[in-house]
Amino acid sequence: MVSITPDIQKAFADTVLPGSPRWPKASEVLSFPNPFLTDLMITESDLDLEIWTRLLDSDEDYRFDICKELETTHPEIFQALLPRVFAAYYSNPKILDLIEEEHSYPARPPMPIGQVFLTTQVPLVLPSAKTPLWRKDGTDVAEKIYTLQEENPNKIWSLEEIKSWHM
Amino acid sequence: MSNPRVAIIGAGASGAAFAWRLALQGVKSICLERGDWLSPEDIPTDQPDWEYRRITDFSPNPNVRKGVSDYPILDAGSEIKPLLYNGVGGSTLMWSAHTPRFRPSDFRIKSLDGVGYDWPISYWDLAPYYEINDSMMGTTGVAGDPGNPPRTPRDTPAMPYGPVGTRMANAASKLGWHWWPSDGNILSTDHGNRKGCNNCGPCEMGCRIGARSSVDITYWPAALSMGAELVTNASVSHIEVDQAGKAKRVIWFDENGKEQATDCDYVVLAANGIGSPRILLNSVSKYFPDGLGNSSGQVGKNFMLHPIAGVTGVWDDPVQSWAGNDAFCLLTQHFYETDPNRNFVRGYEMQVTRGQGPLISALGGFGLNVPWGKGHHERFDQVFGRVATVAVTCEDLPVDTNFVSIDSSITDRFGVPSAVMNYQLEDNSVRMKSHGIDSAKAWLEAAGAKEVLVNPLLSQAGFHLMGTTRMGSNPETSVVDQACRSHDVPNLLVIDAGVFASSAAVNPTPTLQAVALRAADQLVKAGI
Repeated sequence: MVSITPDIQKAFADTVLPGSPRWPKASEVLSFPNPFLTDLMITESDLDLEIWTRLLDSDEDYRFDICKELETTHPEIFQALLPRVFAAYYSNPKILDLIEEEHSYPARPPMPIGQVFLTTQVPLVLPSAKTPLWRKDGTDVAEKIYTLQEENPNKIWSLEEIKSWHM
Repeated sequence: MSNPRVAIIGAGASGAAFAWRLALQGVKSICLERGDWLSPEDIPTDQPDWEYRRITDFSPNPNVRKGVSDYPILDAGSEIKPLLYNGVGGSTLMWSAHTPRFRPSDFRIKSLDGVGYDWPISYWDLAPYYEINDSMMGTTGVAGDPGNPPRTPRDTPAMPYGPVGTRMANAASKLGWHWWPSDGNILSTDHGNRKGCNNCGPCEMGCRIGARSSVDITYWPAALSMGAELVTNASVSHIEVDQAGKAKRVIWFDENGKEQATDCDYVVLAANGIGSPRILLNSVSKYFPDGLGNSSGQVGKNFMLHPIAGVTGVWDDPVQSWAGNDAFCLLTQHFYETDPNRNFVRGYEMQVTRGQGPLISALGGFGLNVPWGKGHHERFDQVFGRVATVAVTCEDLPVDTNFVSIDSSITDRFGVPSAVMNYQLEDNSVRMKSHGIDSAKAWLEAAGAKEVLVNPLLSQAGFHLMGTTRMGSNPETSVVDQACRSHDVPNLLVIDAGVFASSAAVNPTPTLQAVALRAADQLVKAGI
């Protein structure tokens, strides 16, 4: 088993994450060989596939087609590569800073600080139903509890009362 | 019996509750758990690669995770893939802690609707045990839901609604659908000696501050302090019986692969709806040639999961999808009960879940249609932090064609045959799910979502494993009785969700824990 060469890693990464006016392409923030890809091993015969040579082409549209072909003809390799490349990109500090800037998502892991909800200006409309909505099961207990709940929907029930139903 | 030796197999939700309840009544037990303790420090949600870990070695799918304590579950024949965890705490180490209860009708589906099987016990038998379990696990929510029978006040207030919850709640009200904040085993605020939730998001990965409950921090410390024993890294292979056909010994492998034996007076299986039938089917002897407790041929049968559709709404403006516990917020059970005007029996629940972090969103999340390559970043900007997913959880019915079996050609690292999931959606579920998808679309649109995306079946959602050791009154058609005792082997119990006669349309954990607590009381009452 062998690892995928750095130039192929880079070509693949830049094809699946080509960037946009506001987002850098993969190789602008990632180094190759990339740590997220070091554990990915493929067979020597897979590394000899001529598709990799074609993936090194400079034409972006052509490389996109080659990746589409890889996704179809060698889905296990493609599906092993894609999340690793995305993981490298979306955990990169520069990308996380961009996400925070654009989407207010804090540029850090969720723990230990957690997240803070923004105050919503929309008032919450509380449920209006008061009478029981559950379906009775044909037992006497159900009839009794349903009636009690209907008569006093705001009653606070204790454990002792609930135990008395059937314990 | 003086000093009976009770061997519990599995230290998850049901095993922990059972051990605690026995210990409380002075009965000691020894629990054999194939996994180990999971330290809060091992939960990677404070690491830069936390999302990648979630889809690799910290995945809830054992076939992805491939942990040292996991056993193979062959799932090629199943539309839904398994999610479970092996360790002290079991799958409560990797759960969302959403804890709605079964409704009374869920225990009477044969009598009320002419499908499936009735349970030999009722909601009312379990109601006190639901309460006891809630007090042990710790709760968030609001008592007083008219959609369910009464319950006691919850320990802490409802989880924050946030922008997503507020929109969805108001939309449900607009549609005339009753909704209610979800019950959960999370503390929304500090309670007792436990911290309140800091709304970090990915509850299923574990909670580093212990706000989200798991039985390793609730039941087990209490049970151990009262004398319960717990052996970790103990992978049970099978149960041996004596000449009278009673269970006498549990055979297991330690972490070094050395075979061990634990003699016992009672064996209690709590290894989940896949693990327990696997052990029973592997426990073949001349007395039980088809597997232990399987004279009915029902061990492994009636396998139920919850078919779940994910319907995602995308808003034009940010709704902070990543904030708050990701898997529940509020729910509606408006379509829960059978309506003769629909083309299916029984019903479904819809719960509001929130979004994911950057990586999983970029990879498409629950079906966000984020392409790789051209247009990737533009689409990411459209959806990230602007989505919510309605999970449509459908009641599943037991059918002969859905079952768990074993395969000796593929084994775990100790040579024990693997489990096999055989599961396809039955017609009623398909029709129900279709109706649920339409309802979820209507809900999201009423909430102002500008785009609605449908994932018709969440394949990575096999976390509710039910029915494979069904409870019933008739020994010819069920595996255990109302007290969870094997019809065939009087000193053998099964206490996990395998005993469920029906699946309801809600998460099973509080119900299986209530069943386990009751089973412990029944065992003591019977004069253990």
